[in-house]
Amino acid sequence: MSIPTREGEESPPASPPPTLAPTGDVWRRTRAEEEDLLLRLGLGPTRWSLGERMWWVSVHPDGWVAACEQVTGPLGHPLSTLFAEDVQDRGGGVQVHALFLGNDPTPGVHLCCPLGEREPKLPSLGGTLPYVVPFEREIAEMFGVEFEGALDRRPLLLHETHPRPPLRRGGPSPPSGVRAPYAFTPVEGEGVHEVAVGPVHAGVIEPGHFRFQVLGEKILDLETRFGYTHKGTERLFEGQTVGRGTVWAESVSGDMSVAGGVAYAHAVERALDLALPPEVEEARGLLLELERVAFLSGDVAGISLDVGYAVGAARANIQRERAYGLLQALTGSRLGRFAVGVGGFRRPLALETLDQIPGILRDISEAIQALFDLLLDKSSVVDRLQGTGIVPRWLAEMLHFLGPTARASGLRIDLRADRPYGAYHGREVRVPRGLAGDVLARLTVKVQEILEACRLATLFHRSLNGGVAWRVPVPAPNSSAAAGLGWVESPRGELLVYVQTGTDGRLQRVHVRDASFLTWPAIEFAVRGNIVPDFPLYNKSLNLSYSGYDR
Amino acid sequence: MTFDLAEQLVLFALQYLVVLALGPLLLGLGRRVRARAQGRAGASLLQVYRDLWKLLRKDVVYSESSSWLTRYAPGISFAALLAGIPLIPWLVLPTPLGYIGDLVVLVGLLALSRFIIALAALDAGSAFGGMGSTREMWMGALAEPAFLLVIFAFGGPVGSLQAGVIAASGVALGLAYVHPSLLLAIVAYVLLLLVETGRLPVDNPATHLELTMVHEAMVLEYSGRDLALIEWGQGVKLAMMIGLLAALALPWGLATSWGLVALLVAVGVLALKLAGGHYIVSIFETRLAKWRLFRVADLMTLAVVLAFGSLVLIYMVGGGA
Repeated sequence: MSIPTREGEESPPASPPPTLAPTGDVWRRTRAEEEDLLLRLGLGPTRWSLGERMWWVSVHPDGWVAACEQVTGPLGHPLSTLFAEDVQDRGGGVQVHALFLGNDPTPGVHLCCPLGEREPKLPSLGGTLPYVVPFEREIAEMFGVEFEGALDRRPLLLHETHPRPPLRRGGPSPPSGVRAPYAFTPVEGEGVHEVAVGPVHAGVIEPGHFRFQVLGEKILDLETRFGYTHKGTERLFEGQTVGRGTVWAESVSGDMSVAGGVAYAHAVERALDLALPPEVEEARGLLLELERVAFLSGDVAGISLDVGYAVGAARANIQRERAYGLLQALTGSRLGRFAVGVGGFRRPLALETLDQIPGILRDISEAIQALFDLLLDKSSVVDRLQGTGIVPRWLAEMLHFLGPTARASGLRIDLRADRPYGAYHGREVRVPRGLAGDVLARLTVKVQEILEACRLATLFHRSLNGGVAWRVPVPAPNSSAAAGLGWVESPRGELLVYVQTGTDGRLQRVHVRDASFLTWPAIEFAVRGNIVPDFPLYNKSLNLSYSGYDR
Repeated sequence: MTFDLAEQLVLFALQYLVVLALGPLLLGLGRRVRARAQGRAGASLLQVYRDLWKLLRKDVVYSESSSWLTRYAPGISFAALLAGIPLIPWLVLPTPLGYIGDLVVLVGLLALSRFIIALAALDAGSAFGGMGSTREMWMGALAEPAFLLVIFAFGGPVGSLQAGVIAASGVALGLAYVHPSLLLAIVAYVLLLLVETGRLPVDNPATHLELTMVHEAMVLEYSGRDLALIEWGQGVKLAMMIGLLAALALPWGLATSWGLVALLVAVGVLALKLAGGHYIVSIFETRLAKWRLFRVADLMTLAVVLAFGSLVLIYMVGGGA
């Protein structure tokens, strides 16, 4: 095939000398250095996984906790996702996978832990890594894995009468009919009362349940419960052709269709070892950035509306619709759906509108900047935003929050800069950062990200002028099973799609980890000590996906 | 010039007609102004009437855990507002049957109207009703002292707390009635008006966010004709609050003689005052964000201080009368 391969992907050349990464925050190890370190740590049999672009290490259940501690400790990678896979048809029981993403050029580690066929058990990581608890709760209910020593054994997504475990092969057992009550943590004391909000809200928004413990207007504690939009997406992928999987990947969180589609397509393309011509990736980059502009403008509108400043909301919504209008013109879908596909695009983009894009993007930038200045000029707005719903940096770091939330708290994490993919190879991405971690910081970060997204989209647009071959032929899947990992900095943050194809070339296991899955707990901390009527403001400034959490 | 009893009864009925009809129009006007400020066309001014008509014909649904209180509260609240209407000079001076009560009674009636809805909001046992009630009663407790002080500031120099008498003295005195100290009382009254009628920056009548609501949270449980009565009451209360300010601060334009032309002019002037007043409030609203809940206390403290200052000034410098 004459398609050029991107440098450093097919077979990485001799590692360059260690350098400080462009963002200047972390010392990053080269691939060779990391291999060296891994071999010295001796976690288990180690190999290079091409499709995932990371080290693949097989770990025995007894050494599970120690191995994870080694990777998060000496190797310095946070746990990015934890999921299980039923491999009965390949002679085994359940496998638990932990992915630790590294920052370029450090590849990162994939720990795989095969469990026994009967009554799979694994020690809980909850003692070392508090943020794995929702992952473990999900694996427990979906696969029937028991986590020894886990403190929280409540179900996560499946509500009382759902048949379980649904992701085990051989079918789940029928519903027991027993409705085990879901226990919220009670708070006791004089004058403390409970306020239950949702899952059905007064506005037309996604469903989620919030249980407040309040003293007057002051919030003592908040617990969230989700699962109301659980669609069994990961099960729907199974047995599909790789081409059809795009539909499900896009619908994980509909407002991030392009990000979902690109992450999935990258995962499959890496698993199939398929490289795309640069202009296809540039075109995907353009769609990704347009989606970001539209999404974040919607966030600015939401924050403005929730402080009761409807004029600001109307002005931001106009810009949001203009960005969606561009997506509509290019792809035929307002949300950019059904555009991205494995091997390029599912249908050619409408290029007639390309000329208008830079002008409209410039207008959007200017309008958003002017609106931001106006908002900062209003004391009644700033008073509501400043010091409200603080997510401190130490918390964001400890619980591994992602996306604009983490950046507003002072963390510089952005996959476009840290682990470039597709069109972002060799591009400089300016990562804005806040300090205070309050609603104002999140608004500021989001506004700056809109401006940066407009700039990037204009750059991608410029390199598209030569015309685009919209699709490369997707090779027939070979008979060997392959794994691939796609990562995209979605408007909400790091989005991961892990794809495992079977020997028949069909999808065997697809795991999607939206940034919301890790970031939702932020709201439980952000609201403490704040007052109830400000809650919509914390919620909107984080703007996390219910559907992306529930899948 | 005075009216005989028959004329008074006719005027008495006429002002009910006018106020009940104009109330919803004011709500529609406010919505239109906000829509225009956001770049939207906005609904027709008559949409509020259509909504009320729709609600009036719909079935009423009651929560299973609610008692008689929920059923009667909208009626009691609306009746309290109706009882307050003749205490305000709307069209003519002297106010028809105006001697039946003074402004302290009006404050009491408004408080009753508020109290019964707040009580009924607790009835169904929903968390939102409780939240709305506590916030509404807290604001009410802050607003009422300021309201009384404002009334004393207007009524003190005249020596009467009847709105009709105060307005009549204003008309009689002409420009001499306009006293700088009254300006303080007027500003205090405008702040009060925002709290009493639940406008921004105190409460957002357009919000769909149940956790931020004040008045809306209390009436979430209502439906059908009960809801219609509450919405209508909102319009009437708005008209009363603006109408009272218009009568006290701008008493000119009220008819003093019996006659079709004089009455038509009076209705026109009233409509203009109400629409103008609400237009200004709505413009004000579009330029502000909602305040943090507890800053309402600052607003009401300011109102109390202003009203008290006005009162002191009047007695020290000497009022208009």
